[in-house]
Amino acid sequence: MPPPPSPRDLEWPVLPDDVMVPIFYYMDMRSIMKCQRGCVSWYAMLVDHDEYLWKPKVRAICPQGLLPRKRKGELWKDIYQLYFAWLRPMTIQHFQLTTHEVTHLPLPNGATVLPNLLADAKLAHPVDGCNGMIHGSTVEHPEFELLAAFIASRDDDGKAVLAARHAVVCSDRIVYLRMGKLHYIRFTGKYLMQEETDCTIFVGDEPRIDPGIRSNTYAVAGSECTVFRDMDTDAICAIIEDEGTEEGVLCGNLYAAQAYNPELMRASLELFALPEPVKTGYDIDAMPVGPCPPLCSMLDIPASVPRLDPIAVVDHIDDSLNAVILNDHFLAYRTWSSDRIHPIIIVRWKDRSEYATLLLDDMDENLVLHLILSRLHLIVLCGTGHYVYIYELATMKRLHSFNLFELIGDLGTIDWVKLSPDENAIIFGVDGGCLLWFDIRNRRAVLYFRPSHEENTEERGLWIVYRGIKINGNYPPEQVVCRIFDTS
Amino acid sequence: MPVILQASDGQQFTISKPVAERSMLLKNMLDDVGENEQAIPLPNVSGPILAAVIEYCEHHKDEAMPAADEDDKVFEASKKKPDDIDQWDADFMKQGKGNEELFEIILAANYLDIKPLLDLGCKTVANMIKGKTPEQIREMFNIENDFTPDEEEQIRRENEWAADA
Repeated sequence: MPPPPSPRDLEWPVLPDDVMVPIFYYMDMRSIMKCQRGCVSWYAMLVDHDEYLWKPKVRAICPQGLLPRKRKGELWKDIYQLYFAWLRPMTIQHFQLTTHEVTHLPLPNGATVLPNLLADAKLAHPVDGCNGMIHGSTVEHPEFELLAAFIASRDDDGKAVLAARHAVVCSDRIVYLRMGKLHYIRFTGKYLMQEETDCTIFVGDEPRIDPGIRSNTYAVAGSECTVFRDMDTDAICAIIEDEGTEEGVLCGNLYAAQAYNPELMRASLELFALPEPVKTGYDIDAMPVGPCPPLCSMLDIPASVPRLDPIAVVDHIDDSLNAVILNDHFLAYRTWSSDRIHPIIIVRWKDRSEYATLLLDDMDENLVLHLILSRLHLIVLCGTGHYVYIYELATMKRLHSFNLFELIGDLGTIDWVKLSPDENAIIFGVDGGCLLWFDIRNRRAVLYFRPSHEENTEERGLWIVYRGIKINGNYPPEQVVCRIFDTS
Repeated sequence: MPVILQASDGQQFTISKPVAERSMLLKNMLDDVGENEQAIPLPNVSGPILAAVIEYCEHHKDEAMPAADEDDKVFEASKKKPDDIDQWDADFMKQGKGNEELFEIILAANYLDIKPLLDLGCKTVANMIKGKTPEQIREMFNIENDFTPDEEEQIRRENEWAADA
């Protein structure tokens, strides 16, 4: 590190670091970015003082001062930048739509080199397509991070869809439901390995995978039960032996599941607390090697695996899907109401104390379709999913209110919505099997699509979103590829 | 019992104990030494700056001192916005004070451990920086641009995503 700059005039007072840090604390992001360019020592100070400078800045913008959890490798500064990125105006001038055809990965089996690497043949490893083994090489490769995955298929009407609740990404793999069975593909950071089938979980009809937010666990739910699995060990951590739920979301160790109560003719919301991850349990790596055994019944799961009962039940929530969401500290859900206004309740989930209520009576279209909670914001989608309202959680002030279609054109109904893992982008599943990547940090809107030709009308596949490592503080644009399973 | 302070240029100021105790440094000194008629030397603070600091402490002598270590209080303090400044305080910081005097007051507040005054000075400086270019900021703080062209380019790339900032 070069020495700090010497003052031009020794009589001029120089403010020491311990005074500059509180000055930076009170600056907005624009001023800080300019100060970063002031001199080397200021730049170093702004990078190095994550705990003393950026953490208090983040705390000041958090609801009730409750700090969110950081992602692996994430700094408080990154979270503050996220806040700033979401604060900037979202207007048509900033979000020009571009379209990208999704690259087709043709190999049904065996490992696949990611398209970025295929572009430079010298970088590609030789790959054994039969068994997915990768032969050694001394060439250094860029690493890639999995962001999201979706199953592309056809619904009952033959319409192309991307299913959000049929796939989750873990640290090194994509777990997904295909033809009602659980499969996974490992991702080495450079290669997609061959597809493997996991025959050890049977949860009943209409299975789904519920997302795990900042958790090393994901939920597989069906008509008979919900099973929680540790991403790292595959161990089953807990089970809910209950009739089917319609949707659920896991954040940290809390799972919120929405179920329809036929007696009340209303939906209710049940909260479950997962135990700390168990060290031993039902480990699929311990299964005998060979052909897949028949589907296991619940009786095969050891009695030592905890069976969960709800810790709280919330009645009278709205019975539509995608209206329950959690973040590190808060739970948001839409309540049932006899009039056309459906209040959105936000509670602090630790003690279920109410934090805020939203009455969206000025909506262009009243029906709330989706709720998303990021660490700092609440996103509400209304109408056919294209009216977007973004609230700052700390103040519950509405920051943005826009019609997505006016911003980027009429795309069709929005089927579902998610956030990118770093919360810098909103991902929309669009009618017709398209994916809209709404990049708030970089102010891009990219529509990914598979062209609809005669030959792929029955195509089913796995869409994979990934990107390279952070370079100079910025991520390269995401890449989307589709690995085709069948075209029957 | 009044307290006598002696600035770096020899000027002496006689103030009441409650005013002196706005400074945690002086409060701890007085607690340790007890009542004493001797002047307390403050070699890091000049006479005019000490006069300004005393003016601030006189005005705020009846206010409760902020607790430093309790989490809630820290959070309450952290919620304060840079433009959340009392009118008297804003006028006090403006009155004929150039950058040099302002920085001297901040350094004195830091040395004497007067947190509200340090806070006020930091907010005032943060507000003054708003809208300035990096070059204007360097002039204000009297610092030199010691980045290499490569380093400047790297920072430019890092901030590219917020180019309209």
